[in-house]
Amino acid sequence: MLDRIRTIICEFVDMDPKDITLETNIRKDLGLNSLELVNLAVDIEEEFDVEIPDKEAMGLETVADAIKVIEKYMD
Amino acid sequence: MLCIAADMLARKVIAEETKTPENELSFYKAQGGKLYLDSGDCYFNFSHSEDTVALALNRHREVGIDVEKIRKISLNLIKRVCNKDEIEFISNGNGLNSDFAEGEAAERFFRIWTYKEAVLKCSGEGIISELYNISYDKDRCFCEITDGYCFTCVTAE
Repeated sequence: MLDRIRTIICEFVDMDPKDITLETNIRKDLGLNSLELVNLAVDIEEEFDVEIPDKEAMGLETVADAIKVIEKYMD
Repeated sequence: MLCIAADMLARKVIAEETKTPENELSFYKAQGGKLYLDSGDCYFNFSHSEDTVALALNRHREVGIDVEKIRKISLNLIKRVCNKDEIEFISNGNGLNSDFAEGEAAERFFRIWTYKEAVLKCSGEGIISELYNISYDKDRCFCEITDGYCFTCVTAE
């Protein structure tokens, strides 16, 4: 799952996927603002076939948080 | 760097407006993360996007501001954050027929997006419901599009 998220994130930021870890902070380390965070959530939703409420999408801090949220909403 | 610029701009303008030396200004962060002046002399909010910083200040009312660089936006994102009436407004009644909104359609999206963000930032509560539940009200905000950026400011009612 981490590799799939890395691929999605690298569509938004120009970085080496290997530099994206579970501890990577989506806002601070990746520099994503609110709109980009929602855009990331949209792409994650499409990739994993889940629906993430906006409150949780915009509350994501780390990549690990994103994985937890995906797992929470997966069937 | 832009956060630092926004902070410096806020301090300078607030100092001038409240006639307080910059080094005597003190702030606190409320539960929702919004910054306030300890003295309560004014309300303020700031935003930044790419190389642009925006600051809104109001002596008497809560205020929220958002700025975004206008760019092409995916249809999936538009459908995610906008309700039916807003999608109609963005498409200008023509329907959105490609995977992206560009040009004037993108401008209309950013009017809506920055409005929703400004409303949330004005309230200081963060996201408490889905974004599409915050309906765009062009009469409730001040919006300006200039130099490829969309600025929207709202004050509490």
